[in-house]
Parts: sequence; structure tokens; C-alpha cells
Amino acid sequence: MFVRARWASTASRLVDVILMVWIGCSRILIVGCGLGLMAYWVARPLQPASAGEGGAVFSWWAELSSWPTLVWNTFVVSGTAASLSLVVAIPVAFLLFRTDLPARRWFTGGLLLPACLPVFVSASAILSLIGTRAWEGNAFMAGVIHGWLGIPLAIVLLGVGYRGIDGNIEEAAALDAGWARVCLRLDPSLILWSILGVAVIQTWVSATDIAVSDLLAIRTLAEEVYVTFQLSRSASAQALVVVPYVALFGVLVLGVARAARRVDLHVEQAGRRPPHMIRLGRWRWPLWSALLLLLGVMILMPVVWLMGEVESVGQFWRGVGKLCPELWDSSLLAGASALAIMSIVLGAGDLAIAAGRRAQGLRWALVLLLALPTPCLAIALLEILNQPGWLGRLCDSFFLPVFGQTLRWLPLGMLIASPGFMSVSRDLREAARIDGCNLAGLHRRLFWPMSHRFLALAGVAMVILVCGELTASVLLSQPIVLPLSVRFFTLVHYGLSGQAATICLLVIFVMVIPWSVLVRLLHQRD
Amino acid sequence: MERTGSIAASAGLIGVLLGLVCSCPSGCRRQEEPATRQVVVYTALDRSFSEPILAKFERRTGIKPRVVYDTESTKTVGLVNRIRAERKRPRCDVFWNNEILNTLLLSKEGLLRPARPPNASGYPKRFKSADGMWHGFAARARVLIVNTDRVKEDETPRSMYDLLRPEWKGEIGIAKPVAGTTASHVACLFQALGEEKAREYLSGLKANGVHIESGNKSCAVKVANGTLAFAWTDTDDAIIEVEAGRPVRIVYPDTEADGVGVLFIPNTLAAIRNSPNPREADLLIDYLLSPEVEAMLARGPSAQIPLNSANTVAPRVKGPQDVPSMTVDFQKAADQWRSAQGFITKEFLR
Repeated sequence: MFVRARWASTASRLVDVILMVWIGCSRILIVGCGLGLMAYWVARPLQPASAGEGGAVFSWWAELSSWPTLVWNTFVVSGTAASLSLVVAIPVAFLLFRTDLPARRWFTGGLLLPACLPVFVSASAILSLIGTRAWEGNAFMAGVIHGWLGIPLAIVLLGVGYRGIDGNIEEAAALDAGWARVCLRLDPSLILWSILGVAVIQTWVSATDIAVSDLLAIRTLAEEVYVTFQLSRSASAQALVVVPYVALFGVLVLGVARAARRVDLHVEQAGRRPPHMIRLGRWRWPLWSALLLLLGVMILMPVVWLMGEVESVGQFWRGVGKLCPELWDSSLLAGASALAIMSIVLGAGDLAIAAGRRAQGLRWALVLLLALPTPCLAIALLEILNQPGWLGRLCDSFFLPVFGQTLRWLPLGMLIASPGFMSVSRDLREAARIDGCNLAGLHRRLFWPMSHRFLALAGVAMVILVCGELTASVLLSQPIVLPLSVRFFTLVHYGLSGQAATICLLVIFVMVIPWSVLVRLLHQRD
Repeated sequence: MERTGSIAASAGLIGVLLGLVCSCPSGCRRQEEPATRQVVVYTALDRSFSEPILAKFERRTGIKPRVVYDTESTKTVGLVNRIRAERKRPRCDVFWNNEILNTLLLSKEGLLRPARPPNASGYPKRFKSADGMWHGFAARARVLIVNTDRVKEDETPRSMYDLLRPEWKGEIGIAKPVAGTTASHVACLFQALGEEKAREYLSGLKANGVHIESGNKSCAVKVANGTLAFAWTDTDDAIIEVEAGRPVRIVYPDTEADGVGVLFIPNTLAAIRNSPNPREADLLIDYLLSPEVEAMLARGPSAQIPLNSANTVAPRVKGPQDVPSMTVDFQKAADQWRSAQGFITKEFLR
């Protein structure tokens, strides 16, 4: 008995030591990569021959003079996208997560599936309906398309917010105000964290994507980045494209932080009461029908369109057989990257939501990682790591693409998972410390159990985002590894739309499994 | 709570271990196969087209091609930037580019080394560099794709200058001239017409309301569905629409006696300086320049035009033997890219 207890104590200490090392490494990794990569990119023009030959044409004035248009277009696209997503997703998330709507799990699952489709496919489907020509150069329409495509992820994030509301607060308010006013006025303030999260993610996604702006011929900051690299312009010009991004995301994050300080952010707290489920009464079936219509537009339309592209069932299965290596490569890359992101978030999530200088430094490092455009991040990683010796050997392994994708999506993973860490109140942490819990113990016993739902959500979101990512995939993938996203665009280029559609359908079918796990977690009874 | 905490801790540790294991696969593979000869190829050609060609090479030589693929669409900054970023420790042996401009830029930057494959002798001098830095093969032509429902036979444009005619204002298209064959086209116009005339022509296009499309594929599709009357594109994009039975025809512009001729842009092969497998790279370049490979590319969906004089395959589109071609010194065109680039940025991207 005594020996067993001693072993258990030694094992527990060993786990604590490993966890402490991991927690430390996670924090150092984020700060080091965020600050290091940005510093490298800023200093890059000083290095000889770091960019293309075509770079002699560089005029600061010409560069700066185009910024107002680029910033304005980016602002319109992002603002419209974030606003539209929120306007549609808030009521839908409320219906799905707070009411007794029939078959709400099925609805949630169905509405989430379109998120697996590449932006290019969904945007092309929408533009084929509304026509491209009338909307050419219209930044507002690009924002509308981005907003529409962002609704599924917004529903999930807002749903998590709605499920995390403390029923005690609602019931106390309902005594004075009635349930209608509670739902319309109190609940939005209680899910403010989710709303801010949706706003940041939508802004980031629409500000950095070029698929829609490319289709509608709109000049945005993201497009400027790609053009700078395509034209093989000078290192100064390449470094300069980073500046507006840092400014944009810096302002955005500062704005969110200020909003968060002004209001009392409510997140799911340990020991809270589950939120009250609203009975829809006679509105149940009409609202059910309206959601069914939305589901039809969002998921059935693209799926039917894709099925139409596949000529026969035989062709589909033949296509699946041919695409198996790509599916395996992409699954491995996405799975490994999502696991790495979740592991780092587990190690550093508590510091990201804390107060103090170290926490501030970590948050700024995350902002810098968020602001560094994908080509800059991938090229910097290649230039830094691809050296003779062990670093080069590491580059030749699967590490480089996984590391690249991890750094690319880590800030968003952290953002999605942070409500889980915020749900551990200060009182609870203090009580645990008084009981003798060290930092590793706090993670094992408080932070991780409380954040598993958010981590699962972050994990699934990361898998989808990595699967659809193209630029870092091309720049960092190993020889013989061909990610699905690269194959998809090449097939589209060669007019092999049947095989391209097979990729989309395949991704949807594969994603049904993690989606159903996620939907189960989201609708879990407390 | 304790149990959940332990499970979460275990999951976290498993994640870390998996992350560490990530670095293993290719390293392990490398240790297992020390004797396997390999060659690393960077290409924008789709896997379904390049795989049969490279598989044949592997069967013949026993050298395993390890391929990094790009996408031809403009959604990526591409493999050229990857080669630049890897300059300190090149990982690519052979760059198989589907156009010429970026190969020439890499050559100017000193990232390529000369190669003298025996099969290069069958190619015209203008499609290969004198110092062996690059070798052109399997070309595509820059053509006008015309919608036959919207443009009558007698109205069909015959010259690139027909795009400037006011009756076609707002009805014509061109891919964004920053990458791929369109960038090469602009650079070649600067060389063939002279800087002044090229600027005048491109400004005229802009003044005539040319639609800047995301790529040549998009140009071909928009003409096929009638959104545009006609557009500049490549033969591989145009032939897909023609063979799909869409109402389009291909026009080889400026073939009259006083015209500048049709621009043929070859695929280019280049060996990377200080690459890890130089001998294997030379063997692969020689194989890819063989008439057999050109014939395979000519029969494929992209209908590439054979340039090797030993080739007997009948191309599905017209080649330099059938129509007058534009006289271009590709090296000089690359030298003028700086000036062309500045003009494109100012005229089309601001």
C-alpha cells in the first residue's frame, strides 16, 4: 500500500514537472515566434538579395498613395462580413441553443457543414446565381458573400456563448423584466465575448482571403500582399505590406480589449446554473420551417450543385479512389496541426486571459502572428529554418508544414478556446492555490477540464481551416505530399470540375464525424 | 474532476508526443532508403498529367521523382518564391515552370546552373538559353477566345489592336497581368513592340474598359458563357472550352504580313544551383525534353504544342510551324520586366 502510494506520488510529480516544462515552452514559443518572425520580416530588407530581381521599382510615395483605397476596401469587406454574420447568426444560434425547436441538433449539424467547403467554391456558387458582372468592383458585395459564408462558424461561437449563460442571472432579471426583454436585452450582453470573437474572426478571415475579392476584382490589402510576391518585388516592398496589417489588427484587438474592459464579460462559470430553455409555443413549427429554408439554401444548394458536377456514382467512387493519397496527406497535416495548436493553447491559454505585463506580451505576440500575412510567415520560416545542419533536416520532415500551419492558426485557436479558460473564476483559482495546487495542478484540475468543450470546438475549426489553406501548403509542404487544397485549385484550372466537386463532397462526408461529435458537445446537458 | 483532469493531461501529453512524432516520417523514410536515388521536382502541372510522365522516368532509370506541386491559378504566391527562400540550402533539383518569365528571373538572380542535356539539340535556339540555364519545351500560344454567339464571323478580331476598337468597349477581358503567361506576355510585348508602343497598347486596353480577370481560365469561361465577347487567354484554356462544345472559336492574332505574330510561351526546365541531386536532375531534364514527353503533353487535355523538330505528333492547336510567331528575345524581355512591372502596377493595380 505504502509503495503504491509512493509510486503514485512520484508519478504525479513527474507529470507535474513535464507539464510545467510544457507550459513554459508553450509561452516561450508564442512570444518567441510572434516577436521573432515580425522582427525578422522588418529587418529582412537589410539583408542582401532576400527578394526577387524585379524589385528595383520601388517608390515609397507610390506604395503609400495606394493604401487609403486598399484600407477602405478591406474595411468595407470586413465590416460588412462581420455585421452580416452577426445579424443572421445571433437569432439562429438563439433558436438552436436556447429554445425547444424540434430537431435542433440536426439543424446545427446541417448548418455547420457548408463551413467545410472552400471559400472559392461557395463564392463561385453564389456568384453564379447573382451574376458577377453587376457586382464587379463592389466591396460591399464581397463583404456580403464573406458574411454569408461565415455564418456557420458564427453560429457555433454564439451557440457556445448562449449555452454558457448563467441561469441564475437570467431568472433574477426575469422577475423584473419578463423573458422577452431578458432574451432581447440581457442575453446579448451576456454573450458579448462570443460576439467579439465572431467579429475578430470574421474580420481576420475576410481581410486576409483573396478568393472573393479576386472574383469581384476588388483591391484589398490581402490582394496587395499576393501581388507584391507575384511581381517579385523588392524586399522593402514586401516588408511594407505587413505594416497596414499590423495596424489594422492592432487597432481591432485594442478596440476589442477596450470593449471588454468597459463591460463585464460574462463567460461560463464553474458552479453556474444552466440557462433557461425558452418554449416557442405556437411559433415552434413556423420557425422550424424558416430554419429549414435557411438550411436548404445554405447546404442543399451547394451540395446539389456539386453533385450535378459529378457525372455518375461510378465516377465519384473512382475519383475518391484517386484522391485517397491527398486525403490522407491533408488529414495528417490538419490533424497534427490541430493537435499542436490545442496543445499550445492548453499550455498558454491561462496566461492569454490573465492580467499583467507577461500576459500583455503574450497577447501582443498573438496579435503579431495574426497580423503577419501567410506568405510572409511561410517565407520567413523557410529562410530561418532551412539552414545546413539539423535545422535543415527538420525542414525536410513533416515538422515544417505542421509548424507553419500551427503558427498560422494559433491566434484564432486561442481566441476560440479562451472562454474556457475565462470560466475559471479568480476565487476558484485562489481556493485551489490555498489547497496547495501549483501551476501544473491548476491546469490539470481546473483549466483543462473547464475548457474541453471550447478546445474541441477550436480543434474542429482548426482542422477545417488547415484543410482549406493554400499558400502555406504550397510554400511549406514536403515533396510527394500534395494537400487537397492545392489539388483542388489545379483541377479547377484544368476544367476537371467533376474531380474538384468530388474533393468537396469527400471533405463534407469526412467532416460529418467530427461535426457530429462537436454538435453533441455543444448541445450537451450541463 | 480529478479524473477528467488526468484525462485532459494525458490528451495534452499525447498531443505533444504526436507533435514530436510529426518530425519523424520523412526522416525515418530517409534512413530506410539510403540507397534510393531521387530527384526533387517543383512543378505547376497537375498531378494527373505529370504523374504518368514521371512514373515512366522512374521505371526507366530507377530514380524516384519527389514532386512539389503548385497551382496554376493566381491564388498562391508560388514555387518561385519558395526557390528564392530556399537559396541558402536548395531542396529543389529541377524547376518545371509552365511559363518562362520567372525562370529567367531566377536565372538572373543566380539561382540556376547550366545543364546540357542531349535531347536539347532538337529544339529551336530561341526556345532555349545559349548558356544552358533553361530549356523550353511544350509551348502554349497566347490567343483570343471569341464567343461565336456574340461576335459574327466577319466581326471576328484578327489583331490584338482590335481589342482597342470602341465597339468592343467593356466587352473584352484579360487575366491580371501579374503572374503566369499573362505577365510573360506583357514582358514580351515590351520587348517585341518597344516600350513606348507596349505602354500605349496596354493603356488603350484599359481605356477601352478591359475586364481584369483572376486568370486565363476565368477569361475563357466568361467568353464561353457569353459574359465577355472575347478575351486574351492561352491555348490550353481555350481548347477545353472548344472541346466541351461551347460556342467559342480560337483566333491566332496578328498573323497578317504586317502583324507581330502569335506569341508562343514554352514550359521551361531549369536545374537549381547547388541542388542535392545534380546528376539525377540532368537525367530528368533530358528525359523531359524527349519527343516522347512532348507527345504525351500534346495528347493531354492541355494540348501543349510540341517544339522538338523530331516530334511527329499532330498538335490539336496551331504551332509555330502553322502560324507566324512573334519574334521575341526572352532574355531581353526579362530584362525589361522591371520597367513593365512598374507600368503594370501603376496602370492596372492602383
